[in-house]
Amino acid sequence: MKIKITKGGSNALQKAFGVPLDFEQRVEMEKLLIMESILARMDVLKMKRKDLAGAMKVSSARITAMLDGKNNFTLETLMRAAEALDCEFQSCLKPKATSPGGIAEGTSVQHYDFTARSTETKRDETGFSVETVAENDNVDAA
Amino acid sequence: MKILLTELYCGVCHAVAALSLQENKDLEEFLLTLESSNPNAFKTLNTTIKTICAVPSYRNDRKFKQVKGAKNLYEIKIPGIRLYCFKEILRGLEQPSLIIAAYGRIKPKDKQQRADIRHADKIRNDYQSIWEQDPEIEYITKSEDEN
Repeated sequence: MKIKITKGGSNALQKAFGVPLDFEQRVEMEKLLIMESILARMDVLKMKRKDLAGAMKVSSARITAMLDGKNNFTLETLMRAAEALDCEFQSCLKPKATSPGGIAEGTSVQHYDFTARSTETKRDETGFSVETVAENDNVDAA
Repeated sequence: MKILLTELYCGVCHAVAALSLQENKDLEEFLLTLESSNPNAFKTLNTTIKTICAVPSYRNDRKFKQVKGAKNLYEIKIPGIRLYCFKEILRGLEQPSLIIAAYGRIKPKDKQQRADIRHADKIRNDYQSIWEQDPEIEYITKSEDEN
């Protein structure tokens, strides 16, 4: 098998995807990453989406909007999610990599985290492989 | 026989590359047309790809989901757009696990979408067939300042 690796390509397609995310895109990405934290915790607890909706006292449609990245999380929503998932809610401001001296005014990024209250064994997050992934993925989850 | 993979993004956990078999430019043209005709959809697609690449096992099936009945065929879903992909690991590359984008379409009605899925599955099968014939594979990484 010959794999020729050409480094540093910069064709039109790569340039299009290389544009840095703007503020709105970064917000959407953070929302989706928050949902990943929530979904990971739901997996541990074997909790379904309707269970989460019930525990958060919100509609299933609201959970769907959260999954779509359409929901604008309020602190209350995040706290409700943490409570529903038996987690402590943590937030922090982390300096950008480009400002190692500290939090530059107006440039800080907020990160959220859901930490389980009780000590639990973490799920194995090993990477996928071509042979095994199709069997492991849940195709019916909605 | 030639397989061309053009890296679109390399994240912490995964990389996404666009597939071109036998110099077919359909996917590249689809994505570039999307960028010019519907920049908001393209931006959402770009954000979704970067999010998928940021976590080891992406769970949100509203955005990234295995296609029912097709082994190792996935769809990246943004409103009105479907990007069909499959997962691969290429030994010898420094990149993490690879998600190969094979075929993109404006989301049609259900009946026609099944035809799109069949077409995407055929591309994946063609890739596997060519792979077994000891092809020349070219992988074009992105320049580092564009991630």
